[in-house]
Amino acid sequence: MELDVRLRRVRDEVREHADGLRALAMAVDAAPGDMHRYLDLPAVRTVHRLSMPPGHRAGGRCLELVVGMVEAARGDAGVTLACPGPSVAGTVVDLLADDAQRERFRAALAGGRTWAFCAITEPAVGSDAMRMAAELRPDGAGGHLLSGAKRYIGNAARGGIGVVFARTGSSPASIRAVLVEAPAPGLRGAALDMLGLRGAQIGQLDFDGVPVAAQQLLGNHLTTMRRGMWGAIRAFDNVRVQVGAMAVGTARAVYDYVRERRRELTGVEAAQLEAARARTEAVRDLLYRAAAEVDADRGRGHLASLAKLEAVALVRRATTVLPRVLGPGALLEHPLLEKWRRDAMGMEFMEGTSDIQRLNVAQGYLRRSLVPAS
Amino acid sequence: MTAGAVTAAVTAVPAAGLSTVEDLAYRDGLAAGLRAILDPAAPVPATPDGYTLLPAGCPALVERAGLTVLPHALAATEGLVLVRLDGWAQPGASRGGTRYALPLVAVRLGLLRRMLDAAVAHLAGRQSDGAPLTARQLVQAAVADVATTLETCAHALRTLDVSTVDNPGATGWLHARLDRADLTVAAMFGASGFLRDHPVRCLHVAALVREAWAPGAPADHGWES
Repeated sequence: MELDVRLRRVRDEVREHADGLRALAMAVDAAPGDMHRYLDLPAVRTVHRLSMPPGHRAGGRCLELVVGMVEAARGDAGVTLACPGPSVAGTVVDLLADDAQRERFRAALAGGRTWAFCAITEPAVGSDAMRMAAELRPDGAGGHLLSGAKRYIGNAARGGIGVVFARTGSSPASIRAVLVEAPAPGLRGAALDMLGLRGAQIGQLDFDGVPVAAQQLLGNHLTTMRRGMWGAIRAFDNVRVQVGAMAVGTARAVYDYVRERRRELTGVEAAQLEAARARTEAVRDLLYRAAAEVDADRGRGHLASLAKLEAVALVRRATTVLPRVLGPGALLEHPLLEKWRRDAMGMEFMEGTSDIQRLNVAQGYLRRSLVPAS
Repeated sequence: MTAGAVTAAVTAVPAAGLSTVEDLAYRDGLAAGLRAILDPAAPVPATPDGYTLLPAGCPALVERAGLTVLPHALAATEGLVLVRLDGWAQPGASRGGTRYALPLVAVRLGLLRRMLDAAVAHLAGRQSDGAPLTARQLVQAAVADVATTLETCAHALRTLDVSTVDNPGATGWLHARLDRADLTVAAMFGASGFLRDHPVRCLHVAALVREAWAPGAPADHGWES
């Protein structure tokens, strides 16, 4: 897929800073809580700037974010996730917030020193949103009180602002998203010690009667059907493609790393690396197309699932097979390769496992096959 | 046991027998399994640059001669220590040959069997649309794949001719099958399996142990999946 001039500029700009992100990879993996020390580095500022939404309402930004994410993850996915910015919450805000809420969100993140969280997954039911337990109860004064727990949330402990999904009643339409700023009374966040993608500072959020004012409720200007879960589902489509971009960037990083260190190749090794390069380019193009579909909003969300499924399979193979080209023991002798292998495992779980993506792909394909075109 | 001269690599079946090693790893974990197969009379297995993971308390670590202990937080959670053997750096040449390739299969089998049992219990306790996740066909397919790998590898362990397994290809395919099954089982725990203190981390650390203890060429070079 041919990128236009603007997207090529985004790609080239982030690519220039990939080495700067790579330089922080092992330090952030070892001590993700120390990320505040690196916030003024040019590479970190660049990721922040490109992740920020524009001040005005714009069309979909999925393709632009994917183009940038592939290049940033080619530096290091963990460091990319450690950079302050809107992250997943930005997509929900783009979809559900009114102008005042968008501005409030943007202002909180503009300085490049604040992280954002997006809380959907719960300890008991995972990402099965229909069984979500977190609730918003009326406080009797026009606002709500938020209670419940969310788990496996990026930036849970250090986030200064974010989006939380909870229900106001028992029907699917009662699921709503609210904008929450931290610290707040009754809000507690804690980081979890994860195996990989440690820069994301994944953690748990607990809400014990957190006050939520009426103006923090997202989507009041939208129809009932477009307020809550619609936004979460659309956000999932968007972010699945971005996780796929992270996977493709990491696969390419492994390829680059191995290729730079192994200049003389046997025939089998050369064939392996060529297969890796060709498959990575093909999956990257698939992601670009899936991102363009998300931006076009044609309701073909299964393409996002398909792209994530393929990208995660790619990075799992790349982090398992390619280190062997450097000889036996590469995962012990090259800590970065071992770290990327751990990171790849985390990509499996973000925004739905591969089994969830398979179900989405099947449903999308069957719907298209079984329903006659109108 | 120190970083002495390399001896010929001959596969040694532990005195306890491989099925006992598998049972031990199932019951007591990775470090216990490695202690059972480590031969104190043989060179410590290591990568071409001299890196290896050893179970805490093994003779080489007690003597501390000819090696440097390095930090490795994840390995430490499994009772292992990362070391570099001083003066050992031979590009392309692993230390210890194929001696541990087959015994390590037994250790990994024990760990995988234990984690599959735990994963099935975990999935049975989680619901989707009113039914346990173990009732889902995709989940059952994944369980079947891992169970098939377990039985195939266990069968190979019993039937492989020990005199032929010094060829890395003879055991490489077993480790490659286990690599894939390990990832499948880890995914069954969902995001909870991605916590560093989750027991399934033993499979990840075992894959790192293989780098030094069973460095032979893997049969799994493919890009088909």
